[in-house]
Amino acid sequence: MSNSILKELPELVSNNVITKDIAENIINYYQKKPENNPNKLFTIFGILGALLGGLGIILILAHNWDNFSILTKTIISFIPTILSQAFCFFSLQKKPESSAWRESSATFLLFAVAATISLIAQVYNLPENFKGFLLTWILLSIPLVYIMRSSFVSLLCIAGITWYCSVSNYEYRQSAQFLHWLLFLILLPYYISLLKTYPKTNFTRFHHWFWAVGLLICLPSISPLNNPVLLIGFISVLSIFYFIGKSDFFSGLDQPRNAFWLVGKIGTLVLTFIFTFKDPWLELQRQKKDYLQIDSLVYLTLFLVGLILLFKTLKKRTILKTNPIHFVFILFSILFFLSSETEAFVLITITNFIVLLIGTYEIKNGAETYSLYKLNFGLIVISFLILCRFFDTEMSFIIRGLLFISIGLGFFLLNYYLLKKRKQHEN
Amino acid sequence: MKTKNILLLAFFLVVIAQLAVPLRMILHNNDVLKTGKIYKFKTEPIDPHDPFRGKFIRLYFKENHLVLKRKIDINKDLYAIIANDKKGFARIVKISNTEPKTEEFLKVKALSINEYGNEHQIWIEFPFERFYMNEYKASEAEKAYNESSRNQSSNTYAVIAIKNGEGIIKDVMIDDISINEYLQKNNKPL
Repeated sequence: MSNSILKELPELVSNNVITKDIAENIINYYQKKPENNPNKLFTIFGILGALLGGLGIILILAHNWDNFSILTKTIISFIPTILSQAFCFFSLQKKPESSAWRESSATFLLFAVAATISLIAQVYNLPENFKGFLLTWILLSIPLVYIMRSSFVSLLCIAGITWYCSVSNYEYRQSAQFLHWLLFLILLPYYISLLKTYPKTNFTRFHHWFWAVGLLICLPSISPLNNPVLLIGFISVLSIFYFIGKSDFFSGLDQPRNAFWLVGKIGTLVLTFIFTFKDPWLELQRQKKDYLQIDSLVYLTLFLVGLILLFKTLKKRTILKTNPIHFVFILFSILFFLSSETEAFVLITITNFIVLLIGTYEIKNGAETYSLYKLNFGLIVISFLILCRFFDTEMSFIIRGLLFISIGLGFFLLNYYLLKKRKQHEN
Repeated sequence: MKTKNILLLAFFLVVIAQLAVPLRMILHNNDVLKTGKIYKFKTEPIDPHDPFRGKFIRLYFKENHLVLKRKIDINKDLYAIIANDKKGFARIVKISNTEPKTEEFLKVKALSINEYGNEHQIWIEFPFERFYMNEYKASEAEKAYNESSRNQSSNTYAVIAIKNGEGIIKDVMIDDISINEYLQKNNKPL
């Protein structure tokens, strides 16, 4: 993009469309733009090389060279770690400013540590303890995030902690473990420093994704006894993500469609969609809700944080012009509280109405802002709602057929109308 | 400069930790192998593989369940007390939630528990189920086992060193010969 603009500049100057000064300013702008930095590509290939190299070494050693003595095999097992430690040392001493060196050597070391531990376990036939292995691996790798200032290792550690949480909490008959929250806390300062110093880089964008998804996966670990109040926690966290995604920070970065916003919005919709069916409510009515458990307190706190963020958002706009998705967590929580004493029919009618409202708002908003994306998103929400109702209502095939034809026509006509309106507006 | 020194110091501490963990694993393993009591567990090998650690034979132990007269909490730590039978093979004598003081025991996990009236049949999983082998030999080992098992008189067992509730595989034997030697003796390829 920048190259094509730069090529046009002499012509624009010669035809007096822009002055020489403006042309120079444009050239300066593109030269200073971080995207033009060749170091970035080098970093990507460096990390890729370290990843493949590390995995290659693991595979070669996994062959189990039984012609060697145990001592030789032990020494060989240590080679990947020692070699990558030397690379890291070199990066720290000689190339501290090169992110390519720091990132790739730290990534290599992360995998080398896993290789050495695995190979020692292989050589000595150590008992299998995957949970312990993951924890050791993460603990030995987290310091590299700060020492080597490696964003890629930070991403791998977030993924590793999420994995560790799943292994230690969600597998059959596991007792509750909370260590992963402490590990997340150790990684948090690095994420904050990224947000402050490099808010626009791709690594930071990836961090948004990893943090949002990681935290969401780990949330149920707070409820060791399958307390259904967890649902309040879930919907609150999704709303918090949505509000974070719509915050001034992200609008300032010109990233309206960021990870938090998307995870929050899609997550809220999915959860609401699930509860437009009857069975989840019936299941919820059967379950015992323990509001006095310690985890319920955490969910209440999350709900309150959601409320505070909602009030902050509402200060800037009127309620009537706000997307109904902002209020879903409150409505859902009220329904949750009333679910034991309320007929399932009433509950599903209200949830269906909420989804319908969100869809209608998106269509209206799309039409007003001439956004095909928003308009079609709203249409998809409503179509999906109707599709879902096909499963649990006994409508005749004729009515179903007519409904589908109307949705199809709706898609066609609304898009046609919007495109026409947009053209008129542009003229 | 000061920050760089702190970074380097932290880096060296991490380097030491990264090397110390596998070293400690080796030392601990050697201690169990040298000073632990040796038991023979009757077993059946099969051949899966691990993407990190290569091929291994997974051992299925014949002595993996016990009938108990009283109920036991399988969500808590379980201790299996081990003794030898008349033929010299290990068997589980008792399983309890409390750590035994005198007898030789293994820390185990419960797979399931079935109730039959007053009796509770408990199925357990041993911590030592993998015996790593050369990638070409693991499948040969399985074949060798299958051949030897057709012969009713042959015996396949794992030699396990046990100390303080921990068990480590020393070797897997077919007819009292180490599985690696057995493969060489029977002219199996590398």
